[in-house]
Amino acid sequence: MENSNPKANSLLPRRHFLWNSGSGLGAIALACLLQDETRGSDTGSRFGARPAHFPGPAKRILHIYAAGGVSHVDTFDYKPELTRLDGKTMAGKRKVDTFFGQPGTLMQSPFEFRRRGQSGLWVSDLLPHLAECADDLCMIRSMVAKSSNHTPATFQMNSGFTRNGYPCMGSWVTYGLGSENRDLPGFIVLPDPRGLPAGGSINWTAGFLPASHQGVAFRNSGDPLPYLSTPPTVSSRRRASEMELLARMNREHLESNPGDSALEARLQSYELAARMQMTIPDIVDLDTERPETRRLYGLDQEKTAAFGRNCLLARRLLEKGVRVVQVWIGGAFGRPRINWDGHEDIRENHTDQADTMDRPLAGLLKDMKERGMLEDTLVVWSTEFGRTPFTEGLGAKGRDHHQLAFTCWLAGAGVRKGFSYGASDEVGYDVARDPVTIYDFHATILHLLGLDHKKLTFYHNGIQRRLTDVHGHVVKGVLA
Amino acid sequence: MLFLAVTALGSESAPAATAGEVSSVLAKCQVCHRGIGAVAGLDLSSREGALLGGNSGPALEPGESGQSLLFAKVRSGEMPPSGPLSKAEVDLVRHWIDEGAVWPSGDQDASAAGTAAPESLWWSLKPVHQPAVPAVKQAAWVRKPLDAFILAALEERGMEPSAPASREVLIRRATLDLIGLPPTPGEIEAFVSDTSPGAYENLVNRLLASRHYGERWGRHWLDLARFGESQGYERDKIRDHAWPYRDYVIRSFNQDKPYARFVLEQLAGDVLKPRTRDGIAATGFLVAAPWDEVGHTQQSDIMRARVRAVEMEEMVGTVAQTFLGMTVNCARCHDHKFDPISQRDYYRLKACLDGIRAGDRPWLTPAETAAHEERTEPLRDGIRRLKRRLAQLQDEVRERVLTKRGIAPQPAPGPVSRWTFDLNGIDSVGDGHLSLESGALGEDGEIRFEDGGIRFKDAEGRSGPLTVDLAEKTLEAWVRVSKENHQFHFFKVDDTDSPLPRGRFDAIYYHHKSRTWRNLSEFKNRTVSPKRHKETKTETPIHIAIAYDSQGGIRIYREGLLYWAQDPKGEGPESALQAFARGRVRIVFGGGRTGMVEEARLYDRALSSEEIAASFRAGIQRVTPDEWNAEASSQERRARDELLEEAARQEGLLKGAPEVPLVYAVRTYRAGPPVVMERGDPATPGDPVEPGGLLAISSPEPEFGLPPDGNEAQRRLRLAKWITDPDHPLTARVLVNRVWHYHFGRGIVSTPNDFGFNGGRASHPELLDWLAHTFLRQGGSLKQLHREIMLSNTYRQSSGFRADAADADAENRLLWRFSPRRLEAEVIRDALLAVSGRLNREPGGPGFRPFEVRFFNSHFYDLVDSADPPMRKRTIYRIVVRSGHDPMLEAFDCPDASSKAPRRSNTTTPIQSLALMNSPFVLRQADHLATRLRQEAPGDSAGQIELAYRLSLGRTPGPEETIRAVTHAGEHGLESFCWALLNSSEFLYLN
Repeated sequence: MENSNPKANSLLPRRHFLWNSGSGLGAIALACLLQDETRGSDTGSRFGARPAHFPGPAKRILHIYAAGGVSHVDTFDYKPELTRLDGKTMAGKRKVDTFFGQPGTLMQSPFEFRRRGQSGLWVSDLLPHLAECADDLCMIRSMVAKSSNHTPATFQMNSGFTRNGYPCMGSWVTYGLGSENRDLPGFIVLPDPRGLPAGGSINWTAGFLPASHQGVAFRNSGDPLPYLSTPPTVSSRRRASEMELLARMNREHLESNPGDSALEARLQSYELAARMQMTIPDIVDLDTERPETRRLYGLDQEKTAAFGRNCLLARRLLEKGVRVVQVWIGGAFGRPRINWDGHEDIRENHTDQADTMDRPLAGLLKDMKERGMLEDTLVVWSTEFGRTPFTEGLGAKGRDHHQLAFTCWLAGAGVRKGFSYGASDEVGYDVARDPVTIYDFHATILHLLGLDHKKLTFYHNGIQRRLTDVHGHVVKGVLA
Repeated sequence: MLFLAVTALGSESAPAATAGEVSSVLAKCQVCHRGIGAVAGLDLSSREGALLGGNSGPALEPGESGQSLLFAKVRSGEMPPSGPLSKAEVDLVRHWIDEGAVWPSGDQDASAAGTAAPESLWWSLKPVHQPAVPAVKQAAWVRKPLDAFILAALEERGMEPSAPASREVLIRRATLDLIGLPPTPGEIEAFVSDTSPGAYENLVNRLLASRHYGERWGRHWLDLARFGESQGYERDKIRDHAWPYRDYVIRSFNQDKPYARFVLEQLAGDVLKPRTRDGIAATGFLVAAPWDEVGHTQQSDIMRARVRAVEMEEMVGTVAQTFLGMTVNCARCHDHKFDPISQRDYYRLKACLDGIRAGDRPWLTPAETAAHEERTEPLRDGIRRLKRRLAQLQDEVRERVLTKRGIAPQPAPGPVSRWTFDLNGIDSVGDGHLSLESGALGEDGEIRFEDGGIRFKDAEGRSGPLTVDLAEKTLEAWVRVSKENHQFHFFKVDDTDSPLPRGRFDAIYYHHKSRTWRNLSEFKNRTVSPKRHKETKTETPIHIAIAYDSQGGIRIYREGLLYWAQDPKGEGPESALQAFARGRVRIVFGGGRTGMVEEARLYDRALSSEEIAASFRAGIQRVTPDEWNAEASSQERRARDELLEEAARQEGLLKGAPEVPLVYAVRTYRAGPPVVMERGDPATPGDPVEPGGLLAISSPEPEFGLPPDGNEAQRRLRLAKWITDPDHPLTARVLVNRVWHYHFGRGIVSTPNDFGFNGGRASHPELLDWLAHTFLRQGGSLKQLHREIMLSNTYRQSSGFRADAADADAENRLLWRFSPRRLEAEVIRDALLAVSGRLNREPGGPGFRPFEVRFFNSHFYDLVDSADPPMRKRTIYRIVVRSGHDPMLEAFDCPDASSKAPRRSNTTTPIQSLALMNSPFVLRQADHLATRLRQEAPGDSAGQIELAYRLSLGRTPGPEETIRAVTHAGEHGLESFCWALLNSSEFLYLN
């Protein structure tokens, strides 16, 4: 049992259970992972959907990642004091450690804020469509990150650690819960069509978890997965025949090497691969969706079509039982800006990004709600940090990185609706009440999925590693 | 063990009897909580220590178990970390405390305990001993001593080893294991038909002598070294010169370099005498991890220090885990939770590595450097002399122009360099002649970095090394800022050889957001950020001078008036006046943004306020190229042209001289006195600490006796020597366990990077020691160790499944058979190429790059499928970028290069199958194999099938298999059959 504590740990009994129950392909829903020899043994272990630590309201998770640092004070965290103090120097706060620039003066948001829906949650005019969903959102306005540097902060939001090489949340979740659909990867990533985020696949790496928990990034054109299509040079007749030959060879090899379940898993992996070849093209074919649905996601407009397609695809993947879908709104850094990194001009940058995100994301929430998917799907919207309430430099129009207070939100299974948790101070600089670290955020997400973040462990180089390192508390206040 | 021994001495009353019993429980606590450097500051080796307590207060309240922290911790199960005490033991502790906590052995124990080290209590810290080879019943089965250890454990459980594997299986196993390529049909036939008693030994020796051996086993080492060839994090830039480390590793394995030497070189090869190329390249190990480029350039000092702290944690962790199997990195913020490693230990180790920075450096031995200089110095000297003459000529004519204008020659107070940009970047006083790059223009007597408001990203003027020493100095320049107001360093004195992440420099700098003038340097303590009004002059020249005095004070002048003065700040090497040594200092104009410089001067002393004011008043006198040409005689113009031409010719020759090769490796910097950081945070520095080894080990001596301000090479070398000391209990054990792990698929200790509490227990502890002892006795020869293992009957067993044995030991911990296993990602790819006949066996050199690089602030690596010869080299020669994974290799569990991978996952997924089914690479190999078969067995369909089996699976097919294959090939082509063969389980697994 190499993966676990060599002296046994809490995952062990579950594994035995699965092992015993996994008498055949159809016995339990099977994950993409057929076999992990490093954790099982030579007598075989199969992994499908795995029981959670306790019953959790969420069966799967949709993670919208807004890259570049979304300004909380211009979107979800209303600060009337900023209007009053506009142009003044911020006083009485602890030392300002900005990332790049000199702190300038406090700047009011260029966007109007309004109370929305029954709940009266404040959302700015930057996001008019999303504002219509306010009664379904559960804001956390007291987020705190560890770094004000994009990539470490992004790594932390995704993996709990600021360094390269730690397993991402999606990997932990599929490791903990397995997959519900044997024809699809358990953790699928839909990068922003404008470009990959900085660090590329590091953002969805399985780190030291087995490779089968790696996030699989769907490509925006051509085959969604590498090597999904049979090459055109191979006729379907030939392929059918050679697959049959291969199956016979593998079966014979299995028979002459009894007792090694890896060989059986290998045999099955080809059946599954063939099924994935049929399933995935169907799923990514959005033409079957009704016109009004396509409009709902903004597929009819140039500005929103590409991100809208990913949102719609996300819904379809979730419907098929994919455990974790991560959708990115924002790519790498640099100019022209293709993410939320509004150093130069917050109005211009955030308007541009929000115009892309707002309608499709709101459409996705509404569609999921109508289909009842919010009952058992957790929606997480996050960014890596917020932005300074003051300008970046004197007389400037942009805001710098800010990790001391920012906003993320949850929606769907198991979370309070139309609710706001925690608060930043009067200008949105520090957390004033109920700070939520990234560890807490992750612990809460796992909890909603029925996973105890302290028990979801994997032994690696001396430590039972966790998504939450040695920290984290479930934020009870956001639970429904 | 001390406690058990002592308790036997006296036990007459009831409490004493309890004390006797409790001693074995206390022993568990004392593994960590003992003596100097005890974890959490708690010393439980004496009653006094327990009463005094540690970081969490007193541990013991005699008579009051309810008030005793020790009891609370053991009752809750939090302690000991090796596993909770039994209920009986907990009751015992309660009873013992309630009875007054009489210390097990009385007073004398307190002193005695202090002399016993934790190593007497934790197996991996005990000295390696030479165990007796156990006696066994089936003595005839024992071929090598290690067989006796394996057999003894099997016999103890009434189990039998397996029969020997067949010759075909054995040669395939040994060949894939040692060189990572399948055996050729010829090799198989030779081995199978060789009936001599030494046939197998000869086979193993042949494989060990193959140069492919290093390519296979070096790959294992690179997994440990988390070897990647890009920076990771946001930018993920490629490290073009990182490959020498990979080649060094391969070479070291092939040379069978003694392990101690291998370790020594990786930790301190750059400071070993004599300095060799291998020694320098070896230190690539220390700096192979990702590096947060952006984190190091952020403005906040404390955030940068934290980035560095994270970097060091990674480095300390890698060194300690790789060589010692100890997770010392866990003790950065607090004492290790499980192992006897205190926070102090972490900072002692870190102190040894503190001076390490990373970067490209010349990859030359001192002799090669001297030879290189000997070759190039005459050219450099010639160029300097030509330019000197050019400068004189230029000034003669220039002065005539000025005299005609009625201006007296410069009263300048003797600069060491002066650039007037009349004609070009010639330094009219010194040797700081500039080469102008990427569009930096030298027209109209100014150097500019823009054209019509468009900036040139890389435009700059850059000098070669100056021939003056600079400590005290003054930078003076007439500059124009553009309306664009981009931040800009106009004039920079730069250390050409700085190991610091941001270099080492002083510069006149214009900060565009605040519109103020600054001195910019790599450290905040020397960067001067005046709080002054915004600069208003944008289109006319502004006179800026910065004087750096011997005390470390910095004065900035604008238009001849003092603009800002900064007294010497801070302490330590980073804040003092920076000296720039001749040969290592250059001048750079233009920091990547807009702006212009009209004239600049460099002085090797701090000018006084009066001198600066006078210089400002005298102003600059521009002489345009037209004026100069009009004044110069035709002779002078010709002389100038000839000089320029000759200089250009000689510069061309210099460029044609062999380039200095570079290597990405350790570069060093003087480290400050080491301290413990409270909670691991550089914002809260704590007590001083001394460079040293782990205090839990008493031999070799963990105290290095080095001064806190000693040089970094000494520290690193001492650490390397401590680790490689033959007495070290961990080094050899950890290494032999790794080799065992790769041969059998699992180590004797199943956690190769962790020999602590949290790691696995040795399945055969005596065997581990026997191997370690033998390894040390044989001078740390890996090849000898391979022979010990591979020539054994244990290794030669069949992999056949036996239900009875599997019932007793499903995981084959006892090695009742050889565990079959899937090939690793690299072996699969290499084997595909080998079988198809397309493997390019050329060794070494810069890695092949099967991708295109796209740059958008970050580097993106888009996979490209190519069959070009470099792309057909062995997979170890593929450049490993961190964000651009190869989907097929990744699917087959090729580890993330950012993470140390002492053992790989071994999964089976449909993603793997898709890659083998459809990747153009695999299909191509199937086609090539088919072509090869037709060539080598022309016109013989059955012969082609037989050859295909022998090439790929190492066996001849049965008659039915042949018929089936021939039929399939006839119908769908030989290519289709080859595809099936290369996809088959039998190809992907070894028995």
